[in-house]
Amino acid sequence: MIRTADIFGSSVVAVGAFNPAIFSPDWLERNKLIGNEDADNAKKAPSLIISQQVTVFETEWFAFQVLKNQFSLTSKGALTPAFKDLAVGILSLVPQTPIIAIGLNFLAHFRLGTEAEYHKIGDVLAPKTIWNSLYPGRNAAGLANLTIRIQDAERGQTPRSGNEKRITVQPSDKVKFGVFLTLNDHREIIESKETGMTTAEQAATLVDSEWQNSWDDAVRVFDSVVSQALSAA
Amino acid sequence: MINLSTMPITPNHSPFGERAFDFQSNSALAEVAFREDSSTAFVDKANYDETSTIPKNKEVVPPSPQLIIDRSEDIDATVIQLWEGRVLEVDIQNELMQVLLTAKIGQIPEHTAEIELQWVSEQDRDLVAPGAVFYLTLYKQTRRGSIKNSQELRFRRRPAWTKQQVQKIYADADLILAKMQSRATAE
Repeated sequence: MIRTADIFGSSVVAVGAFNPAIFSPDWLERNKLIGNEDADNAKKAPSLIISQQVTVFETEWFAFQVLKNQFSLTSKGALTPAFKDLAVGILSLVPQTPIIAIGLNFLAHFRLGTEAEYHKIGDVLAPKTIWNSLYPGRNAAGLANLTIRIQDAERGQTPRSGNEKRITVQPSDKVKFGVFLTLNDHREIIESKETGMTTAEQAATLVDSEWQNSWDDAVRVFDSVVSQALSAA
Repeated sequence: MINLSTMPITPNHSPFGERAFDFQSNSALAEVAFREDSSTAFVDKANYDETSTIPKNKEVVPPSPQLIIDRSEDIDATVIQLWEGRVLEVDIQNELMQVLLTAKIGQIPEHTAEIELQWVSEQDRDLVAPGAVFYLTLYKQTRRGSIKNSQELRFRRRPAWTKQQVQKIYADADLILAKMQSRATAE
C-alpha cells in the first residue's frame, strides 16, 4: 500500500555572500515576482525585518530570509511550482552574487493508522535489540532522529563531488502517531568559465531544472521508506 | 571555516545548532549559534533535543540572526492534484478564460476548460493573457486538528530578461548564423 503525506513542503536554501537589504517585498514586487497583495501582506506582517544583516518577511505562501551568508525561501500552504519559479526569479535578479551551494529541501509528515505502526517504523529503521539489552526493564528506547547520507561515490571511495542527499526520519510533532521525513538535496556550485554563467546564474538554472526532480525523488523516497518499513516482517 | 549548510536557520530546529544564549533582548536580532559545519539536512519540527546534554561536533559561528517567523503552522498542507494551465483565450465580456490543463500528478490526458476570472486573484489579473501559465492546485490542509480541502490558482511570474541574457541570445544567434553561412553552396 502506497502512503501519501498529510503535510508536504519545500525550502530552497543557498549559501553564498548576500546583501540582505536589497531583498525587500517592494523589490520583489517591482521586479514582478510577487503581486501587490503579497507585497502589502509582507510589509504588514509583524515578522518584517529589512536591514544590512538580515531580511525576513513572509506572505501567505512563502517565508523568506536572507542573511549575509545564507538565503532561505520556504513554502507555506500548498506547494506548487510557483514556489520554484519565485526562487529562480530571485536568484536570476542577483546574477553577480557569489553562491557556493544550493539545497533543494523537502519535508513531509505522514499520519500512521495506529501507535503500533508508529513504533514499527522506528523499530524497523533502528532496531532496539542492542539498546534494550543495555537498558533493560523499565527503560524505553525510541528513535528520535535518523539521518542517512547518500553520496556520489562507491562505499569507501572518495566522493566524486560535494553533491549529496540527506534523508532524516523523526517522530512528527504535527500529526499524532506520525513520522516526519526530510530530504536535503545538496548541490555544490562551482565557478566555471565553460558555461559562461556566474554562480548565481548556475544556481538559478539548477533550481529551475532540478527542483521538480528533487520533489519527485522526495515523494518516492518518503513513500517508500514508510511503506517498506510498515510491510517489513 | 565556511559554513556550507543549505538549511534555513530557524528556532526550534536542532541540526543547525541549538540556541546557546541570547545576548540581546530581541532574539530576532542576533544570537551566538552553534552549527554543524557540514550538515545540510532540512528540519521543520520541534527541537526534540533542545535540552540535550550530548556533546556534538560543533563550531561556534559569529552572531547570526534567527528567523522570528513562527513557522509551526506554516507548512500544513499537501497537494492532492496539481495542474499546469496555459491560457488560450480570454473573454473579458463574460469574465472567462479558455485554458489548457496538464496534470502534474498521475497519468491524466491534457484537456481544455473554461475558468471564470473570479477565481483569479486581483493581483494576478494583469497576467491573464493568452500564453500565460498558471498552477491550479487542489490540496488538503491540516490545521489545529481540522482538515479541509481547498483549491488555489496562482499565475506564474518570471523576471524580465536581463540585458546580459538578451546579449547572450544575440551572441548565440550570431554564432548559429555564422555556422549557417560558412556552409558550401551548390553551384
